Amino acid sequence: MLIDLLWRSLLNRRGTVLLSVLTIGLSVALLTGVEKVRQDMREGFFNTVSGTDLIVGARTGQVELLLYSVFHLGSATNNIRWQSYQRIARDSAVEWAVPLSLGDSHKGFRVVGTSSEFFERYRFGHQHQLQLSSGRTFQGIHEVTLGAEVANRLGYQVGDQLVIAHGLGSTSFSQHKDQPFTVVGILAPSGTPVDQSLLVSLESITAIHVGWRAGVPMPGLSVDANKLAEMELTPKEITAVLLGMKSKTQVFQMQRAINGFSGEPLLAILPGVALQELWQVIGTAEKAMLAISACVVLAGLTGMLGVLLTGLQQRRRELALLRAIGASPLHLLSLVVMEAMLLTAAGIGFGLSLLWFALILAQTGLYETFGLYLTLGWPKELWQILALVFAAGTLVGILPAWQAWRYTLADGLTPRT
Amino acid sequence: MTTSHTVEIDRLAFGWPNMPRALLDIPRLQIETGGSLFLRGPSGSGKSTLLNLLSGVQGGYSGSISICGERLETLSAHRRDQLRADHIGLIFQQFNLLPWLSPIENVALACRFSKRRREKAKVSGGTVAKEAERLLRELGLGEVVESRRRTSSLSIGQQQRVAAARALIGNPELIIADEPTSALDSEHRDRFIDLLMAETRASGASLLFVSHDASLASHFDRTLELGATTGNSEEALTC
Ligand SMILES: Nc1ncnc2c1ncn2[C@@H]1O[C@H](COP(=O)(O)OP(=O)(O)OP(=O)(O)O)[C@@H](O)[C@H]1O
Ligand SMILES: [Mg+2]
Repeated sequence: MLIDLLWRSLLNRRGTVLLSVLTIGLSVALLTGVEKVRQDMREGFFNTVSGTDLIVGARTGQVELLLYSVFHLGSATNNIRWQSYQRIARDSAVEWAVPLSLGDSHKGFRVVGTSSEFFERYRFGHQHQLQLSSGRTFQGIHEVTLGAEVANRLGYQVGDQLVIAHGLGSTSFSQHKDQPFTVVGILAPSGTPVDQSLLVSLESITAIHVGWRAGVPMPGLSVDANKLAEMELTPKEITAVLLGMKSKTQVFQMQRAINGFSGEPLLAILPGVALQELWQVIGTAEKAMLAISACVVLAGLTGMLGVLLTGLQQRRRELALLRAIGASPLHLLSLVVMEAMLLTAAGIGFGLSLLWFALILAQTGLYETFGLYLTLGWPKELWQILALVFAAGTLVGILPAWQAWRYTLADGLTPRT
Repeated sequence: MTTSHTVEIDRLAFGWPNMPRALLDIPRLQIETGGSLFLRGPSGSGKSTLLNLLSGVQGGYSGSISICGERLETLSAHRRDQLRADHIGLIFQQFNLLPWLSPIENVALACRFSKRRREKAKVSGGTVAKEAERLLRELGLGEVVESRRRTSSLSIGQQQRVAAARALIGNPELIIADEPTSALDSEHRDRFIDLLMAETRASGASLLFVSHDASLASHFDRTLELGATTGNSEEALTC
């Protein structure tokens, strides 16, 4: 019954009112935005290798295997023999197997030796496939397809030549100088570790190590390209295998079989389970982010409290007047609480439109610069967040309302200002 | 209870907790229907305090106060608020109006908390807004209505007349005016009092008029003097 009066009163004070709606809106946009980024990052993280059923490597911890095979962090202590790979790949339950050979680098970026099936089988996000932004995928030896960030940071274009270093240090002394690679294609950003990789064929990896023994080039043993073409370049060892099964029901059976493999000690992991374990470690950072933005909302609400309290001092006469025409203290109390609720609601509305607008604007930019793919949609559990903010806003209104209550009882009909 | 008296006070005593002696001590006071009382006293004599008691926003007194036959001390706070909304029209010295409402809306405001006054205003004017407009015209504010003036642009005298219209709308039984003329010059003051008296008489309401200016007493049926520091009143007073 007082809502129209409240509206007119707010219109009259629109300057300060607008300002507090703005602050609440900004903080709500920040909170929901952080939550959105957090959820999409998490989603993206868990879907880094979304199409793969099993990852196989030499026996080690499951997080270690995940780290070096997918995220290219650390290195494998042992390799898988080519024969073992072939036996697994030929199993009737296996639909596809993509070998990975890691261990070389270029200016700090990892070189990944693999089959060309990699481009077809590797999936991220919701079953997204890798896309080329220019050129083509590698085919012959000494051809390389670059991840988006590699090309971007090092300024490579299709047709450029580069030299791969032996080992993983960015200032490795041993360079495969005699066998330069040609950039034949550049991938579009995917937000996965592929962006930071140089993809070459397994044969290329073998080729550059021809004439090397125990990590150093043997003098007089270097080979020229013509000879290489005639050589048998099938690798003897690889680092890891990505497996896709024909049926999901066979995944566990296959995992057990590989873990008990007779030829050599192997480990097969479910990517989802290993990612979950890894997230336990790095997920705390996101929680900290959320906590900080919750503090920002608190700051926004404190700003509103200030607006309400100073407004109340000015409105003391207004309240006394309403009291004189028959308003009870409860009326006036509810008027002030309602004001806080209205401001919070307006702030939430403004914040949400701001978030949506920012999402539209940031979507492509974030994807291209950070590989962070934001979907155009509200964060999950949005209602819980908003309900919490609204409840906090209402609670903030209680303090000035209580103050108004005290004023009306102390003032009677004549306000003391 | 007789209903021929709008206000009846019986052995009323009231003091603020921090005061050594009672501020108000009124053995007996009655204002009959249609009657007018001039309440006079120097600053600090408790005039505003008495109005707070009469309008039911201040309790903690001894004795009894009846408004339109209802004994305030027997009513709940909520019922006292309702009684004030229904039966009392108040005019203050200043800050009578909400500057962000139009003059007509300010007048209509008095009907917002009282169904009784709303109904009466509708009977008299058709709608609350029309009745508010009629009262403003009667109080000589036709020009204000016509030119849709903003409340904040009105002169003090005009504002006080808008406040008077608000007190009068819906025919409450008691009009209480707390120094409504202290911001007006003598010419406007006399005009305002005459107008207020005429309108109250026309609506059949009783009027309680407060001022420290003794020269105004002649306008009213009776006068009640409140002493400065001695919490007293002369004698049993009936008007
Ligand atoms: N809420 C309160 N608490 C304590 N003392 C109060 C309160 N309100 C008023 N008083 C005191 O009661 C006395 C009477 O105050 P009141 O406002 O009724 O005087 P008044 O006759 O209306 O004066 P004025 O002509 O200046 O308006 C004063 O001494 C004042 O300080
Ligand atoms: Mg006073």
